[in-house]
Amino acid sequence: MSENTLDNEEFDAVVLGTGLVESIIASELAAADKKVLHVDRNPYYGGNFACFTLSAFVEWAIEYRDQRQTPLVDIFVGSIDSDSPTFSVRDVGELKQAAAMPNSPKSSGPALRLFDRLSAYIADTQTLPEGNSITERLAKLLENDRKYAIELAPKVAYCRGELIDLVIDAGIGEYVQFKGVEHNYIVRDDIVERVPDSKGDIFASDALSLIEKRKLMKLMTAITDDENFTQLLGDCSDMNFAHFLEAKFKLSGKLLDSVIYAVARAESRDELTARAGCERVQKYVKSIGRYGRMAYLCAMYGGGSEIAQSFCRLCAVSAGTYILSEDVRSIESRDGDNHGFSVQLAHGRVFAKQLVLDPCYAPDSLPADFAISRALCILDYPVFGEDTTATLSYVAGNDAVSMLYTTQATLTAPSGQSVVYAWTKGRLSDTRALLLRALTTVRGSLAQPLFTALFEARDLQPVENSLPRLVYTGAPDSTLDFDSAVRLAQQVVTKLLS
Amino acid sequence: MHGRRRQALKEPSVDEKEQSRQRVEKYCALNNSVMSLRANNVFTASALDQTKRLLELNTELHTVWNYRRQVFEHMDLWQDTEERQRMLEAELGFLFEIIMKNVKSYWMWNHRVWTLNSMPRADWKKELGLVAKLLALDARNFHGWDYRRFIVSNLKKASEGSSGSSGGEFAYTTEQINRDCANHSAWHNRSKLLPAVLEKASSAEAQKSLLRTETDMILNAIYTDPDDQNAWLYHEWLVSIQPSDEDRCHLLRDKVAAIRELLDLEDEKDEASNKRPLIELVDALAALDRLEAVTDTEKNECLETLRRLKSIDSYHVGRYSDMIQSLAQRWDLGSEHTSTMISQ
Repeated sequence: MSENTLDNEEFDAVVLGTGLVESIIASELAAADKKVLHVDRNPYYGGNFACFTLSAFVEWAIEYRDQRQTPLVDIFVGSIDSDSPTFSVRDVGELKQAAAMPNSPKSSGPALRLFDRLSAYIADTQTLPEGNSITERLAKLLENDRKYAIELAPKVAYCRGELIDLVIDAGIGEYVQFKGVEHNYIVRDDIVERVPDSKGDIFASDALSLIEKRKLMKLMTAITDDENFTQLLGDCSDMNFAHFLEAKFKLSGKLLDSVIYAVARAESRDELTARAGCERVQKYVKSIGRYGRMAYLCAMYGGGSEIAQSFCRLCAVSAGTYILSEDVRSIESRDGDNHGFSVQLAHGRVFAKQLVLDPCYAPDSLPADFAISRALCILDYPVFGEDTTATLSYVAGNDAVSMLYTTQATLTAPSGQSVVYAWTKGRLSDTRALLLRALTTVRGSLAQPLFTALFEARDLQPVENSLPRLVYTGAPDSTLDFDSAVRLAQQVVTKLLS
Repeated sequence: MHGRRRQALKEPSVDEKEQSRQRVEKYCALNNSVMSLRANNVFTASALDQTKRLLELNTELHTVWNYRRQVFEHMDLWQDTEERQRMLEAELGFLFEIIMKNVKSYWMWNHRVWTLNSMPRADWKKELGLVAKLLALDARNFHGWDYRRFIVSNLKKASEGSSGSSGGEFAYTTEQINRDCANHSAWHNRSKLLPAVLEKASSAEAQKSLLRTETDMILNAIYTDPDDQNAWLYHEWLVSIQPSDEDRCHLLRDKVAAIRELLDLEDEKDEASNKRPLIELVDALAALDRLEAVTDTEKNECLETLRRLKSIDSYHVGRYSDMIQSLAQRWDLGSEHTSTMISQ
């Protein structure tokens, strides 16, 4: 299709950004017989859920990230013990003076090119080790470049939850494959321990005392007893979940933390009410057994991206139109039509009755205070097992860092290595040390870090808009699973189709 | 489907009735044929074929299984070792196809045992693999467990001299109990193997350590699911195989302590869930009393528990009342009228 045929074309809906939320919306609109145009300014699908090979991740850091959302990306090649990263990628597109390299690098090819690009962003020339060794390390990593599937916003799916239901309903089970998340860990006081989640697990666990086993079983039985759920809560619905568990089930210490953080997935101790906490525990326990002895599924090749692409595929099959690498120049109200929009793209102007966009496509969006700090670390050893996936919760005081461990099991890391993700709410300047500590504790003494990246994702807030009917989605949130994204997408679809 | 009227669920259609009638007719004809062959002591290949077809239709005809075995044994080919092996291998295949119709059929398992016993060369290892698969599908099928014991004993015979596989079998029961601590068959099999495992222990210390593992496992089961009787029964059996009264008392005292701790955790309002631990407490204290004296506090605890049980478990009020009376008598408690002191 030549570029010119796009000019002045009319669409029922134009969707900007191919993140998970936008992709679900686009496919549902197309399924409802709307004429949909789905645009992404990047040369890849997935938006803030995108998934990359190692070199592509570095490309993202240099070229494609939204600078308002992610002001910088710190990269450590090798050890993360020192405070200064090997490279600190800041202003997109603006080259800094390349530092003089003591020796010319021996290797060539992708490693050298990547090194050349990164050399513009070297943080501190004095703490740099020999230029050779960095290139060699990068070269070694890049030998397996295509075996990495590095996610910007890693998430898993509850076996019984909105995402899986949607995948089944939409029939994209053929496009996306999932693996079970076999283990769930809690990391507390520098000790990593498995969280038992079934009666068999509890029975066989070495880590729980007999009394703890009894308390946990009573909790599980009581919470999954649907008929008596309201009685269970009594008038404690709004009580803090931790206090509720202490009072009603006499939980304390490690067991209490395991339930609050590793099962109910609170991000801080005071986050959940008793009702919300119990509902979360219910959801977890009810997910176990549907597909096996685990509560979560992890998509192969990188969840958010694969699932988003599957919905894009569905949309295209229902006659949706797709354009990648297309800049969005401006968004205006359509002349003489209060209910429509005119979107100026790089290759033409299109008209839309309805417009859905990721806030980073609104030119006047400003970064909000809320941010999620993220870290990812490629390890030279699969610390929790070669062919497994695991979720972890790193507890520090009254807060928790969410973590995900992946290996070749989900085809997101080469054999013999693993990738650990950690994320928590807050600005990177406040959380950096915490994230690095979480990564170091989890890798223990068995593995060394090969490549680590730290960045933050700030929410973008569109300025008080003079275009009231624009519909914004949002950045991936800090939850472990996709269900909130699915709920948001479905809310938007209901509103648009009403 | 197009052009057909929707049929009400209850009344089968004329077609269906006819099909059903034809099936029944075929079955009866085959059945009568097989029974008359049997009455006439016919042991030909045709008899073999007919019994096979009949058993495919109804796997539970034990008379026909009997007859089929007789036909096999009377055939000329039976005398030839290789022919017999071939026929029986085919028989195993046939059984494997139809066992899923009723995994709990006594007759089919029995026939399989006969087949393996009659084979010149039985592949016990393969059978072990097969029964492992069955138990993976249904870990509580006692036919499977019984069959497993049969195979293991034959494997032992086949490899005499080499160290028995009771260690491996014991570990298998551990695995199954870990998967599901309510698996009665696994606990039962464990009780069959433990004596041999204990005997093989190199020292008294090693024996003690093994027993500790057993009691740990029992305690884990009791705390995970106090209502499930398996662990309690296994503990009772464990007490019974102790060599001395002292050992028995030791185990019983541990049991009493564990139950007391467990009851501390329970919600007073939720009495019904305490039933089993309470009954076990009473039984343990009564048993202790028969072996060595218990303190007055414990006697009161026992009687108090029985009174609690009367209000929780109305179905067995009679039993609890009886126990209270006999214990009170034994302990010289209660009214003066029941005093039985006889002066010498």
